[in-house]
Amino acid sequence: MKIDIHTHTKKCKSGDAPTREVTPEVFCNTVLSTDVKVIAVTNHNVFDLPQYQAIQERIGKDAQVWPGVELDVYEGDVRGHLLVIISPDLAPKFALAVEALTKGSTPDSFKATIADVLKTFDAMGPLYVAHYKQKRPSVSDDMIGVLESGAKNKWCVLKEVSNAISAGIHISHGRSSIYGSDVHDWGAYAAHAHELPDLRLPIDSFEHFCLLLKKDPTAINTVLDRKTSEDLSLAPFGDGTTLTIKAFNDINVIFGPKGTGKSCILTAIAKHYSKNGIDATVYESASGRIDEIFDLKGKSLSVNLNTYEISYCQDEIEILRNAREVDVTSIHKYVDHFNAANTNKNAQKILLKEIDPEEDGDARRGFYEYNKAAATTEEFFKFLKSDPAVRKELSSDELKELNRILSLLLERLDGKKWTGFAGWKEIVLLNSAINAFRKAIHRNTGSPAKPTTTGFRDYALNRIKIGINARDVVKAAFTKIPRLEENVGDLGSGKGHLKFVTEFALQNGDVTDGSLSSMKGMKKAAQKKFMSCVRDVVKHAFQDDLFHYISELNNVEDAEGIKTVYELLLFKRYFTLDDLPYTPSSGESSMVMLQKELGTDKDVYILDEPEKSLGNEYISEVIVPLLKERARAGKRVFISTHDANIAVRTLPYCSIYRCYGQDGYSTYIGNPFTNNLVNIAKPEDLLDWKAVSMRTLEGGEEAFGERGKIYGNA
Amino acid sequence: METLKATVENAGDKYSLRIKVESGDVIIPLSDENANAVKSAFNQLIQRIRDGEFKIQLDKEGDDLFSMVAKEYLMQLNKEIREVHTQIKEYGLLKNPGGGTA
Repeated sequence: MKIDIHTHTKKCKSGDAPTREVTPEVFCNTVLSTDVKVIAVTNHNVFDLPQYQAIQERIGKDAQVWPGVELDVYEGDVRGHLLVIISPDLAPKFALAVEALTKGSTPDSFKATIADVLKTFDAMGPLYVAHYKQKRPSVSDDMIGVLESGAKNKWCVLKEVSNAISAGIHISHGRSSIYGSDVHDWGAYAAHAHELPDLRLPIDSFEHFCLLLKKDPTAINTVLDRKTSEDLSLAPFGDGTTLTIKAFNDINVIFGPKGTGKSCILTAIAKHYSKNGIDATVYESASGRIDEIFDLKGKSLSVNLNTYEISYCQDEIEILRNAREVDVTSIHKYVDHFNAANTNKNAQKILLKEIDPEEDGDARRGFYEYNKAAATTEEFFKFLKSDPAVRKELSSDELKELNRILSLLLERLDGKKWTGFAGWKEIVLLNSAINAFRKAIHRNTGSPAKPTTTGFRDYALNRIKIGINARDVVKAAFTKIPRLEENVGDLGSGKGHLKFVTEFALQNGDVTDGSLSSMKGMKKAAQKKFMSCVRDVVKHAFQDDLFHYISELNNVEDAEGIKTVYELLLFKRYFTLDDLPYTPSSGESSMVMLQKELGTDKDVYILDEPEKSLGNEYISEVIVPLLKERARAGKRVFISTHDANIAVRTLPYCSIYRCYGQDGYSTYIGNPFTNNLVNIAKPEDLLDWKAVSMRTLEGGEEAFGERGKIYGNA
Repeated sequence: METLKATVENAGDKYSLRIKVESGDVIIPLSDENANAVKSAFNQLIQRIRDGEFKIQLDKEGDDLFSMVAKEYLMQLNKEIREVHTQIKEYGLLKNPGGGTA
């Protein structure tokens, strides 16, 4: 929710840009396209009631539009601009007052004293916003003094500065400051609206805003109570003392000098949530640990090769390792058979031995083909019968017809299957009988039987099996695995995004990249040699020296562990910036890890000194907005910090201050809205939130003021 | 299907079966017990099968012992070549899978 206390809808003065002119329609559309939910119309020395009412009517309850005017005020020769903003309920009265005050003048010529302004408007309880310092023309400190002493509600006097940085510095100096768009061109309004101030507490009305400025405890507590919160009862210090804190679904900050137990509180908070089943761990600065967090060495890295359609080839490798040559039939058996004169009469009568055995391959394949087709058809048949979608789509007649055809098909396939089976087994039986008879005759007569095979078939099929298994291993090893990229975070200052890359490669015998590591601790030389042997096996599968390479493969030193293709896996992990390898510094590591933590969707974030090793610019530009964004999303954020940017600029709903004094350790709880910190042991012991923040986080008011001067007295 | 010619040769008392293959003759010793030579011949035949199916035919069929051995041997070998060709084709190991012979 953003607020813009300074806008123009009309070109009133001659120096006003024509682009300040805006219709109620464009005004409303433009404002509603942004996060601005509170906006004041403050034209130069003019209040146009009909236009204001038209805007009000159009915008309805989608945003609050406050009536106001930007007056030329003077004291002697000093001239400045003062915004006077009042409650929308008083708009008609305010219009009359502006008209009366400016009567007889043009917007260019009008000027009034602070006394005139107080006399005209103060009874309406306005908000005064004076141009200050760099915001020209500025109202002098003397004039502001007069305004503050004369105003009924002194807390409603604000100083308008030129930007957020100036506002931050002035606020830290105890000066209530704010800034608005002072829009010159409505066409560019939406593009710059994100620079406008955020309202940490939701505002119901103009009056509510004024009460919050007054730091009215009831008004503040009412707003805080609207926010979801819970009481956490913690025992963080191990001494039996309990600490009850109201934790908001927003930013909760723990600050104080070092050694006061802030980390213990965070640990206790994490324990509390974990006990209740909520994921909560304490994040500590990642400085120097990024390699470990991202597992740069890949200790826990694993990959499922099947995801990339790569076979593990466990059986294939085992077959290669156990490959043996198949013997061929000795030619002498043929020679002996034909050479021997078989004189045994009974043996001569047994003609079966003379029948040549048949190859059973075709018959076997035929059976398997029909068997597979029959099984698939049967499965399909069952599916059709049971699937509700099929039953819905087909009429009962159609279903009957389909069943009839499928039954017919199944019957035929089954018939062929059994015929094929019988044919195949017939050949097997015949071959077996021929073999048996030949052996029996050889045994009983001494006449050598005719060999049933040259051995070529089994010899060749063995070589084929070795060749295809080796080929499958090589094919798997040559499959590319795409690299994995993880966005780590923004390095800030326009440096770019850090990415974390994991590259994989399977050793296929050609991989020589020395920066790759093996996944399972296999020796890289062994992996390479092993694959080189497998490739030789493929190359020599049908050559005389095949078993030389099988033997080499089995003798590769340290390769015994290679049981699957997974053991050939290599990887490297590294960070990149602009696609080039990059080693993040410890500060950059902290940056990106904190972003990663905050980028992870959680209910509870617990951060222990997240500012460690981080530059102020990065904290302001990246981390504080991220923390605010998490808070806006209703997340519970607990931060222990020594950084003012985090502790102050996030305007935490809950601030816990830990300190050590004469009475030992003390805990104070409060918030920046009441500007109080209350000692939980002695409620009467109050501290000023701002003063404590400045002392603890910025080195005290004096040091802060000195820095303010150095920064240019903004 | 192509037919490769084979002959029974003898040099002194050594008999062998010479199969005429395009890339060079394949020799299977008939009278010597030399399993390695047979295996080497088989390797050449497997490589030839990858070019396409074939059968081996004995050029001159004699009545002598080694002719009878060769005739029987080739008859069995041809059956086995056919089976091996089917398997090679199934595993996609043919050099020219689309065509007949390479």
